[in-house]
Amino acid sequence: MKIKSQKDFFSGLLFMGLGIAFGWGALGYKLGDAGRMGPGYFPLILGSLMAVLGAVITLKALVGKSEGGDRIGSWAWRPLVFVLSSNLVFGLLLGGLPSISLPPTGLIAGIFGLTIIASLAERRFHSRDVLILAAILAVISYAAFIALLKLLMPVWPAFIAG
Amino acid sequence: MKKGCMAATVVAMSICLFAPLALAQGNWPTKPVKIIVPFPPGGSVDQLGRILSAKLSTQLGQQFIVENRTGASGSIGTAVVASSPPDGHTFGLVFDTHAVNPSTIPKMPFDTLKDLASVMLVSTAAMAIVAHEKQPYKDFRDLLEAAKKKPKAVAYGSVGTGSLGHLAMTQIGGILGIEFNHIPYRGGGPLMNDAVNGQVPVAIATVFVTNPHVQSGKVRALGVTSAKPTPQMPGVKPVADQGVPNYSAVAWWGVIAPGKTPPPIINRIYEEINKVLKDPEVAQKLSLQGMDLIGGKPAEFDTFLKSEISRWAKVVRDNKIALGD
Amino acid sequence: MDLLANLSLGFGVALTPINLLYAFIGCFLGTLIGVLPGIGPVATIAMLLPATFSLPPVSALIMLAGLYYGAQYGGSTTSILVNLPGEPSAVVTCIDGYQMARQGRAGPALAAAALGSFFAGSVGVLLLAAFAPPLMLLAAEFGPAEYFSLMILGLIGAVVLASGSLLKAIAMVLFGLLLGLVGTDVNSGIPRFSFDIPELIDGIGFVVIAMGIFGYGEIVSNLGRSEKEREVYTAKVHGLFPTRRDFKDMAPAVLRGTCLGSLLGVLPGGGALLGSFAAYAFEKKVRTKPDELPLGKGNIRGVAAPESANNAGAQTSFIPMLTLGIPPNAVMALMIGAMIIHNIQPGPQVLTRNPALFWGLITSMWIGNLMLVILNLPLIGIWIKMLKVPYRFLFPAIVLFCAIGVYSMNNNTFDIWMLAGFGFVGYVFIKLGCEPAPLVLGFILGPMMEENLRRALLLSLGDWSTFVTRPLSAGLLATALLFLLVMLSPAVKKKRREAFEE
Repeated sequence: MKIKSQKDFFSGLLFMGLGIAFGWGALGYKLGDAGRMGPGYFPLILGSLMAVLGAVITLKALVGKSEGGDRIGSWAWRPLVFVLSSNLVFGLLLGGLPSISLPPTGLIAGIFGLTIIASLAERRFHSRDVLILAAILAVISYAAFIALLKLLMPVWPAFIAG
Repeated sequence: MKKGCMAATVVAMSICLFAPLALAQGNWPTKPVKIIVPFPPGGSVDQLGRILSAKLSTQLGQQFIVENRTGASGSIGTAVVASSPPDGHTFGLVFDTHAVNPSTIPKMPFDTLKDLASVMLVSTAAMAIVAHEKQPYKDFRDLLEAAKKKPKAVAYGSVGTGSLGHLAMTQIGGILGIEFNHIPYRGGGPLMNDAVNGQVPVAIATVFVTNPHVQSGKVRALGVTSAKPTPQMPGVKPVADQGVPNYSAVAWWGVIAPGKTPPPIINRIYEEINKVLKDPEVAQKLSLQGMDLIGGKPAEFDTFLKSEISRWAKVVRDNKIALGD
Repeated sequence: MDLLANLSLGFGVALTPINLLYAFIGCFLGTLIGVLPGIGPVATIAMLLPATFSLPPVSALIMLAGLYYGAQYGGSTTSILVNLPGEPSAVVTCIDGYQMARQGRAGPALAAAALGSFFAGSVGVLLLAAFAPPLMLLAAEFGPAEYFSLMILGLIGAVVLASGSLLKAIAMVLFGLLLGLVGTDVNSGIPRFSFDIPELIDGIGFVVIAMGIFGYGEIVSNLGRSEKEREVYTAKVHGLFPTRRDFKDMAPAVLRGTCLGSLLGVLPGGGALLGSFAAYAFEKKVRTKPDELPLGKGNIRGVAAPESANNAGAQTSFIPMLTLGIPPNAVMALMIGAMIIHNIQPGPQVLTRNPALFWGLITSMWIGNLMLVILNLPLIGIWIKMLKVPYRFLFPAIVLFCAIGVYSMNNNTFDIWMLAGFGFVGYVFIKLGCEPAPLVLGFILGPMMEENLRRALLLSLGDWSTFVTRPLSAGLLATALLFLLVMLSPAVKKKRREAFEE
């Protein structure tokens, strides 16, 4: 069987998987009956519907007509990894991680970390440009969020802020 | 000579023993203080927090900052208080959900009684049971009559499953052998919306939330849950006088601190907040929120909290609330 | 006539220099917040609430109201420019707005949003002033059964939102519905799908999903394209203002959006959100002229209609608050808090006891809308200049502001982790050709739908016929069925396929 539409084929599989996962989770809650629904009733119905729909989509991707295979194409691994990592690093630096007793390093450190790592997603990395960008963002963020809007968040690491 | 030396030593020792405590009391606060409010801005707990922070900042010359940490009926913010350093520079505000959460939330990240210290019972508020103007009930007794006829004969709305209104009605039902048809809503806004439109015949919520609609005539107050009538709803009889003798259930607001905070500091916090509450401007603002000021001392609050926790734990257990039905 | 007398009283209050100043401050701050993705009006009103203690009540409320709809205006800016909806009501604007920006037509898109919003806002204020009581009577008829039926209608319309595969759109709606169910179930009180994580007990935040799926997904996808493909976005800018042709196309869309938005905005709890989705779905059904771009590919109607709808809804959603004292959303709840601090008891009595306040606020809303148009139109030029910044500088900024915005909601780093997670999900969906808009609608409607379904059944003691015996509910369900039949009918199906094959 040839896959007529790669995108649809994998979408269908994804939906099937999600539908089954939610449905299974829903079974862990009380179902009740149609007149007096428990917390599991609605999610179970939705999850089942989604699984069925996913199956239909997958099948259509195998037998339906389409031009050119509808390929997914290459994945942008480098941007994906670096953009998401920059976000995670920002969170780690801004708020710290209590479970490993990592104290917050603050907003400014977070901005630098995020900017540097996110910029690595680009093939061209000019460290001077990146650092200037980080500095500008730090200034704008401080002015807008801390000074003007008075949001509460750690800005500097503990040993500076006291 | 010896007596003099003795006396001097005693005095010296006393100073050494008590000075640190006195210093600790005298020096607090030495840096900005965080007031953790576990509920979103605008609500009653948040308003209380902001009023306190403004006044305490001027009173003590140190910044008192409100930090909202919302979620999970207030347990997320309370967990933050429990894990904060016990030096008096962090304390928190709680609502009556604090006494119910131990029974309804599985796996809380803190122990309500061990990890937190009670500081003050700030205020209480009665709840009112109201009916839509088109409903035939004139007072709570009428409601009970109708409800007795068969299970779920009477439907009433509350601000949420496990909320004080829900638990109180359930407890009343348990005492009188009545089963109400409980309709949970997400908070006072949606509840009163349906109550005022008559989509739900009866509702229970704090006097503060229900009063404007009682005044406008869209709903009728059947009874209040405090032991005595409340000044905001004169003429409305307590349910204790309407078929549920000696009954009283109130919403309440309190101050807590991290468990290991030293008692002298707890007492300092208590005294300073007490001073704020005695300010007539503050008292008026808070009574507009529907609060009856109490200012209960730490030990009193502790006793109150323990009794509330066990009381509602029993209602939750007996009625299998929040366990999936 | 009474209305004129009231309006002149109102203008007398609103046009004082001090109130004009506060209106301006509110609008300005609101625009700022709306533009900075993630930071919502709620957080800012909370910050400003203490500052308003010292202001006279009218001024305080005027400022807060300005903040509210200022944020609405600003939220559409980021939707159009960078595909980031700051508010649920701006999600739909992303669909055509962002496409227009990518074609170099960001200027006309922004102008369409601003002008459409102004028109709708004016109408909304007029409705608020003149028709508040009868509109409230209509809203009072809406009980849980009616809300449920309305949401069914909304969901069927949601499928229309997507341009691609119908089946995948339905699946996305279902996924959105399920994501919306994560959190505490209102009827039983237990947390669902929360894996014992406290932050999930209250569900996933809309901002997190929107930022992740729309924002991050688009950024990664963009970075994956070659430099050449990306240049198209920033290089060619075809004029800052809509052409005469644009105005002709826009006008009926604005009217339609205003109608739908005003009506739906009066319904407390979600009515206003439905407005922009409904307006967009409706636009899609309106026949396109032969030389018009299809909706979804950068049609200006796809921006004008939802923007008008959501601004009209923003104004009419004040109605339940001012007439009954019931806040339809978190922002209004804060404003009620502000009223209380100033010893004003919100509710029906405000009209009689404080007419100056009531009418002053209403007229100030119109003035605020005017200020926002005046503020936003010149800003368009500045935004366009910003778009010219090389993408490699722009995208870290977007990533940063999303993260800060999300963090600022709860001061919880967990939200930042979830943002990354949804970013991944968003990119996967782009690669798989699944559209995010139906998911977002499902996410918003899901919990409300289930809540109302169960509540209606609780009230009717398990009797399903309540949905058809109540006239309004029956009417809505009938319309939904009709809609469904129209969509599934072979003739329409063939037309759809033809339209996409071109």
